[in-house]
Amino acid sequence: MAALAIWANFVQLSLYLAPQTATPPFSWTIFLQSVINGVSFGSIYALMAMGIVLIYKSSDVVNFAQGQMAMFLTYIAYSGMGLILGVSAFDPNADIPARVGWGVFLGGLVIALVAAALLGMAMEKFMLRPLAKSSVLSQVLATIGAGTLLYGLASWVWKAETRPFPRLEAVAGKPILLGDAPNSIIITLEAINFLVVGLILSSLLYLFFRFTLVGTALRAMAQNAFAARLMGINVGRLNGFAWALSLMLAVIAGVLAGPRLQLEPNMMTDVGVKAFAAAVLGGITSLPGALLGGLLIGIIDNLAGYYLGNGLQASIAFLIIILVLAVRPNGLLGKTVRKKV
Amino acid sequence: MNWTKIQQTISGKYTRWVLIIFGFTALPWLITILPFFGANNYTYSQLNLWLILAIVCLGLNLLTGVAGQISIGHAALFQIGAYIGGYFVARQGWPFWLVIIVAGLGTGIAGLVLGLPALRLSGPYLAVATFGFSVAIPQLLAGSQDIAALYSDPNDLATKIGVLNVPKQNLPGLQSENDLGRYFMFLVVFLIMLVLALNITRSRPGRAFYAIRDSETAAQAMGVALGGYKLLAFVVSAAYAGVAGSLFAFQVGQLDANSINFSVLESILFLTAIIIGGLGSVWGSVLGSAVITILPPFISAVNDTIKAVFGSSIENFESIFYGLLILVFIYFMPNGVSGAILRLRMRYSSGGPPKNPTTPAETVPTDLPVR
Repeated sequence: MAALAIWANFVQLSLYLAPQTATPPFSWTIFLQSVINGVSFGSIYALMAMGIVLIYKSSDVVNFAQGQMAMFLTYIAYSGMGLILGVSAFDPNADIPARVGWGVFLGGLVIALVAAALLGMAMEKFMLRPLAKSSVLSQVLATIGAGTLLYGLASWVWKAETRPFPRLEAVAGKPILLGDAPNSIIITLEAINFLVVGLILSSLLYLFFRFTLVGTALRAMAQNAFAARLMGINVGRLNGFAWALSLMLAVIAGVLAGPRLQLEPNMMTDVGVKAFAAAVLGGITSLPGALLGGLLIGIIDNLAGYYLGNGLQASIAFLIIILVLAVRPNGLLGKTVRKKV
Repeated sequence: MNWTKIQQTISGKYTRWVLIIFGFTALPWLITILPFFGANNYTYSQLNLWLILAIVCLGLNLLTGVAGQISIGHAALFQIGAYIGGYFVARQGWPFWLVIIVAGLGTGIAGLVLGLPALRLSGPYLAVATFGFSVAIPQLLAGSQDIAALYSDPNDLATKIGVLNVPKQNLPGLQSENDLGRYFMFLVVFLIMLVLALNITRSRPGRAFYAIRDSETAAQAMGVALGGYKLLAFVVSAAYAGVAGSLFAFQVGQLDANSINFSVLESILFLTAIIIGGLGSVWGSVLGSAVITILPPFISAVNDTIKAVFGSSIENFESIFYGLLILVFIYFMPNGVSGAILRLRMRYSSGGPPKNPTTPAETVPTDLPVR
């Protein structure tokens, strides 16, 4: 019933929007280009969404601050690069070049990954463990509070001006062109990089959960934390580990997307929201779901952005999610959870 | 007269309300005791914004605190109310009292649409659905010329898409810039909504809401129709947001669909207010919204001090402040200001359970797995 009503609403809305959308003639080139752009940036959403899923599975908390944390840690990566180059990143006019080599890039990334692990474990231990028995609303608001705090801190420490984030020299090369010159599909090396990193990291995660002892322990904990503890698993430390892993994914997403989004305290807010939507779309308990959700959101976002204009981009993405949820309340790949009484 | 006698007198049914109404009437003069609030139009406009926020929070608390359904979409409902109110005043020229009612009813219907996914969703899924609503509505209202043509003035081509100019409303015979007069107009609406909220929590649906919050399964087993009551909670809560939205249109005069007042941040601010006030407490909503309204001048004063001492002020300082505020309340006062007051009252009163049944819940939903 509910699904039907929402669907009717959606149809009405799309009919209403129809006259405005009729302008661009359909072309396969543009369609494919949008899909490719969507898939590549969707990998960023997927990386963030997998982080959200990891946290949800381990500690039953939806981390609304994933975007803010990624932003904060990207700033740390930026400062790390500055440190290696001998420039202070706290100065708003810091002279960090727009392109950096492997050494500087990886140095900054490693510093940020360490910071991410520490921040993740601290978040778990001092923020969410005390709230383990509180209501969902308290937990959600605690993460929102932490995100707001990080946002304020970042604008304090690094000032709120927008600045460019250095791009890795190796991915700044010439884009690949497919097809004849006037209407060819452009694939930048950066776009390939997004997708490749996204796919490699998600397959590594899959292998990790499937074949390692820690991965198995994490799966056991997600299934039943109490029983896992009885089996001798240190649930607290493992939770911290999951948080650390999740924020490390967020750093990688932030550093990858940094050159395109530019460095500013709001840079990851939109990405965080989309990632959250992606996690829910795929089913918030499923890692493959997060990957699928991220790629889908990327595609929907780009297609809607092109065919409906920027004004309605996010609305359409969310309308589709609500539609999917109305039909499958646990997301595309999520499992139905039976409620304990 | 000793303390017990005073207590008995002020808690008499009618005496209490006479005192409450008297207190609210005297408030515009009492508030001038506070620093930063003089006897000027700014103070009165802050009071009006407080009443508006309080009405939203009354509704949100019925939904989130009493019925236990998370909504991060209330800013969108607030916006719908504001645009309905603005439309009927600016384009149709209806009297304001009728517009308030129409805005409440219209937004109630929007709440029904928002509530439909709630029938099947819970927890994070519900949060994302309501969140999406909050993102989508401002975009829809400002998204295209065709939609903007529905509410904007066809003769006025200069205004931006998404902007609706509303003639400020006031009590008959008063100038539209007189915020003190508007305070009394809003006060009447606020008191009606307050009494309604108090009565709803004590009525049959109110009890059903509490039951759903504490355990859906148990509530269903006791014969509470889950779907109907959840939808009812959404509709009632949306109607509150709609009434507040129309008042907001009367207060500010110009509505901008992309303004921060209708963004997701505002939804989070609403939730912050009810957390500060106390989840599930009607008077807590009023207190929490007061805290949120009073804070900004103090925050900027602190920032000015920082500028004087360190040479430069901190950008987005209020984010640090609100972030800390949310965390402090969640960790140290999870039942909010009203919970703290209740605890003090229990400690220092002559004993016995408090008479007020709308106390914040000491228990939380226990459907989380044991860890």
